[in-house]
Amino acid sequence: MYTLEHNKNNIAVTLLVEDNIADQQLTVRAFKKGKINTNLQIVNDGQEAMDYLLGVGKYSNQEEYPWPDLILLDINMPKKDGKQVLKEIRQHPDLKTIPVVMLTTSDQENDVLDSYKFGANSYITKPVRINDFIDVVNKLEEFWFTLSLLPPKKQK
Amino acid sequence: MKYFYNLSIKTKISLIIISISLFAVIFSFFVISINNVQTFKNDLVLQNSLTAKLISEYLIYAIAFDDTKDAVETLDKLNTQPFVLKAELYDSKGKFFASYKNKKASRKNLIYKNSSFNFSGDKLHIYESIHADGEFFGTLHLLITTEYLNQKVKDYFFLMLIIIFVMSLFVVFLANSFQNIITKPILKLASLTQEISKTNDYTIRINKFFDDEIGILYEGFNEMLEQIVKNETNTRKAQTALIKSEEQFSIFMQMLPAGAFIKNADYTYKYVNKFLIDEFDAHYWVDKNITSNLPSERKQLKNEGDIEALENVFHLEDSLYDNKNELRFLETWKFPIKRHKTETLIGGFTIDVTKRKNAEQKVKYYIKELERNNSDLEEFNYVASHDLREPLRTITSYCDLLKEDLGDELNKDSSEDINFITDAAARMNTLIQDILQLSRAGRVEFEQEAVDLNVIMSNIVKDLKLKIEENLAEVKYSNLPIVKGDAVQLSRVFQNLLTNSLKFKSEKKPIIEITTKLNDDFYILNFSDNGIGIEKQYHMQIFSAFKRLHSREEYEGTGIGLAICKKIIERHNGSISLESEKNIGTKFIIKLNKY
Repeated sequence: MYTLEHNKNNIAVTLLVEDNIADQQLTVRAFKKGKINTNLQIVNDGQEAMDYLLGVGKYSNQEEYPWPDLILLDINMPKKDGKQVLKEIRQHPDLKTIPVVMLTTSDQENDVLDSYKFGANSYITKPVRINDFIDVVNKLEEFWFTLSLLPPKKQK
Repeated sequence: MKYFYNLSIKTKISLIIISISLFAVIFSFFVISINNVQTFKNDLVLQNSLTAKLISEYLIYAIAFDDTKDAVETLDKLNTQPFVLKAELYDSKGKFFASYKNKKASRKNLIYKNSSFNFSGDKLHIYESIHADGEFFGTLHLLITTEYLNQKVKDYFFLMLIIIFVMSLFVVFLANSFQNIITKPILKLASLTQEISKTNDYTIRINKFFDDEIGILYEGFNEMLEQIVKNETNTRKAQTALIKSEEQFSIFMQMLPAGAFIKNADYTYKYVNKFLIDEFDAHYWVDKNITSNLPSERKQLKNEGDIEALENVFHLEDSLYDNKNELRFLETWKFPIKRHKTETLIGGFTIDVTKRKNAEQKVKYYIKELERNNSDLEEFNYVASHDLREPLRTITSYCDLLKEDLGDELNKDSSEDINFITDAAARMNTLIQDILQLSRAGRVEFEQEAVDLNVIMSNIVKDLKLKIEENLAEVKYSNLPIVKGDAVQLSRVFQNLLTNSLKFKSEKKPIIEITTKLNDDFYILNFSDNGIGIEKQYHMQIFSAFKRLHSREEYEGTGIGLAICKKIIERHNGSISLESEKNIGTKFIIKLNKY
């Protein structure tokens, strides 16, 4: 798990749900290169994501695993896939207000449709080139953390 | 009496004729005889009375003069009369006067009586009163023998008997002859009837003798025979026809490549045809004495619908083990055969639909297989789009990172190497995307809506505006039709074609033109350019996927665009073909259905 070196109390928290380590690192690098000021929390699959959000096991530690302001959710994952996680978040009374952005390699129509149907706030295909990726991450930061007013944080 | 009735007609008629004739003869003989005997008697009386009268005339004087001698002499003259036995003469006072006696006569005195005559035994007494001028002189008594009379009567009877006897013979003879007139034709008829009933030969005819009642009977008999022959012929004809139709029916039933059966109203089998016997050992359905070695679970057709089949046609599906112990699927129709008002049978046909059933099951299996394959393909598409492309993206991304991280440390060669890696990954990515598109073109549901090709083209021209301007190209179209199809897919077709035309332009200014021709219920669209064209030998190939006619260095692309076009058009029940000449241009001919 990688944590950006920022003041943990004030900066926005982003939860990245991604099973591929290469992709995790790529995202981290993009965030780094884009100089995004966020506490980036990373979990490896859908099940872990739900554990994190519901404070199960080690994730009950609020200091270390704070409430996320934004969730970046991959779709194709082992155990519990992104769509299932999205459904569960949207059905959960506390979690349903958290903005979820689908960040995935799939450009399948039904993936896009399903995601919006289940309540995704946005759907982004991972760009192939690193510079485009950095661009996307920057835009995300700008939109969600600068432009948008986010719902108040809740306690796990 | 019964004995008489049972006698032959011949005898009966003879007997009747004989007895009637004899009765008539005897009766007449009897009547005549009585009459004749009386006449004989009368004659005898009359004759002797006359004699007595005549004698009396002579005797008056003898009595008057009391001359006995004269009286005797006179009386003696009676000897000429052989029948006079005695004569006695009495005077007026009743006192015996004189007598005459035939030698043959008896000595007994005649008894005096006042009556003029009477028969007594075999004698006739005649009393003659002798009168003269009103004065009674006396009485003459004649005793006359009736012997002669009796003899005469006897002779007469004898003659009569002879006559009767002769007549009887004659009558018998006549009766015999005459009865033949009546009985012969009757007997002939009788014997003929016997002969016909024995030989069954109804062609025999009887020749009539006369036009009497028997003649009429003969005519009637002949007519009857005629009728019988006619009926016989008709019956035989009907029978022949029946046999023929029976034979035909039997052949039909034997050759019928399907089951046919007849059931009784109590639902037992009455008849099964050859097919059922050959295939299902069905003879034991009919004959309960035959046992079958078929598996016990299903040995006969279902009884289902038997009740309904007494009124209406009933259809059912069935399955039955045949005599090879294989399960056969059968379709059966049962229907009523009304024979009489009260009796109805159940007819039935059953056809073997095993092949069809198996084919249906096969089709079902294939559909399932196909569905599974499709879902596999779906799965594959997902894998292809996500899992195959993800590593490529990672490769590209990390190449970028490597380049950036190394920065100036990277020499020119290594930098170029990294570029090769990135390009290859990018190409692979495009390739995968195109394959996906092709597979989707063949798979996804297409809309069947009205698509205005003018709108489609104007959108494409807008989208490709930059490219068109870059190439200084001209796109000409007007009054394009409204076709039936899927707007998104058709857009893809025309976009691919336009892109191709721009890509494969010649040195000339690219002119791309679309024209339309309406046929009955479809349109022919000609999409032509003045590009480099395609050599004839490649015309067939260019619609195949990944068929490239040029090196990647010359023209970019995966070679899948036209394959996608073809698939989409074909999915619209249309067609696409091309006419092209190298260095002159290419014309795609597209057929699409009218909306």
